Amino acid sequence: MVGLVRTIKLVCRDCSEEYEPHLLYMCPKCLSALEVKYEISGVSRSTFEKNDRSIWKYFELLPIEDPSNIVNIGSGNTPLVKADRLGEELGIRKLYIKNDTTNPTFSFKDRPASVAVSKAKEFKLSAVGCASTGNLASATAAHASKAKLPCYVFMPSNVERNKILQAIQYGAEVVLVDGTYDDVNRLAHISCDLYNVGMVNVNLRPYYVEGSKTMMFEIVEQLGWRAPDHVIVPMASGALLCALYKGLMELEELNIVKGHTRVSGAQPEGCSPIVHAFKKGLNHVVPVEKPKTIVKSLAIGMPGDGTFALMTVRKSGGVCESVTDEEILDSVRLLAKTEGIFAEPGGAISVAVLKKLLEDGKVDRSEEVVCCVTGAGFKTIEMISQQDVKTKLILPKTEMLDMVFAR
Amino acid sequence: MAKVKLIMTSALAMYLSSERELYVEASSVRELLNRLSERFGDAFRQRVFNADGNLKSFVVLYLNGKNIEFAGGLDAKLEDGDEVLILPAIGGGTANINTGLQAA
Repeated sequence: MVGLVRTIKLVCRDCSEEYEPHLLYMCPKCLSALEVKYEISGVSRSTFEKNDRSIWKYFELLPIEDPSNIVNIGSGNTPLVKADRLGEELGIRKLYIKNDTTNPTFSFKDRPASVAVSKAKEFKLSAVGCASTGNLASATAAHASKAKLPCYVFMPSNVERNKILQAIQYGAEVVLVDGTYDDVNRLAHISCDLYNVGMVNVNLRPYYVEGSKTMMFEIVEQLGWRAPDHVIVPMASGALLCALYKGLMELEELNIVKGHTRVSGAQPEGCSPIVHAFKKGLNHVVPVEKPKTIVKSLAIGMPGDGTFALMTVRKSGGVCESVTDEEILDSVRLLAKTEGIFAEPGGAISVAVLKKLLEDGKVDRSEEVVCCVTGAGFKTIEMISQQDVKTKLILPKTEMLDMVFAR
Repeated sequence: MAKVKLIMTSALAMYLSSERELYVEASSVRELLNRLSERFGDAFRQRVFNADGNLKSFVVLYLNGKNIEFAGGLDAKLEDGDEVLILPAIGGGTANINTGLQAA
């Protein structure tokens, strides 16, 4: 951070108007979304090669002005695993898993939550919260507890039980809404309009999404400062995919990395509005009123960044693809059995989509592919209990071991 | 003609120099938007409609808590006591894909 010359601004995605980095999430001129823009000098690879084992090693490209406002519970620095066993099963040699199940609250959402809660502190907000399909609730709550801020998390009442129980442990006020995620999102939006609360993915959204791009920074750094051929990303709102691409573009513009990376998006068939628009050649996303999928973390019928994600995928030369719930559950088991990574369905979907894209010839078997696995399996334990569980029950006698090891 | 309650975000209300909640008479959602265009002029039109006159993809209207995409669209009929909510841009944006990053 020494010698850093940096200016942070907000810029409108549509009309390109620029604003000072205030608590502002839509363009006053045209109501479109705002993004963070950095004017920066003196940044190179070595800037990021510091002894910090969290997303904050990329402080120079994160939108916090004063480092004393950083709320850090160790988010990020997750493994990039060379997935030889899985690659063997799928028939692809250069395959990696970005294993974000190892984050402090067990999903990638710790990355954006860390930045958003830090920014809430910088804005001196008196409380934080979020609209969540489950994972963001715990991520926001955990960072809020570290920041000593009250936290209000809103989730659909049908989210997985472990996600509710986990969020409660951090001391958050957990509000369950008898409706869809889109109902939850609407209420969260109104909440931050009426009360002095920073909803991390609503009125803090331009800052929040910046945290997600650190996943791409890590992938590139872990590959030896090299961009992969192809990254496959789960899509709910589409924000993660857009953030990863933005991160890659930033590194390219700073001449830190070169290369062309295709970015592809994965959705469950029962809630795949972005995939539908991609396949139909539409320029906008048609919302899904009632998502029908077991993959609740991706059940966003009206994806906020859907249109932007659609354009990002097209621009990168990637594809959008959907898979059935059964294919997703198969990929949960495959990932666990081959790489020892137990992911939730919303995380393992990237593997299921890779399998389909390989079969359809949309991914070349010589490509270097990174599948982003975004959340841990224990969060969605209901999915396992629905499976055919096979165990052996024995008496505590030595001779019973023959039954165990008999071939 | 129905008398409906219109609610907008406080930011949009500020840009329009309006109250956050208004009562407007209109028989359909489309007519309601026309009334607001007449009342607030370009300040409303430029924020809510594209140059081609269509509703911006990231401006979402809710009729009694339901996205109008699933409640009859712009031609949805309004009744006395209905509530229409305008919520712009959570995420959103369509045009430019750039990092905004500038080497100083």
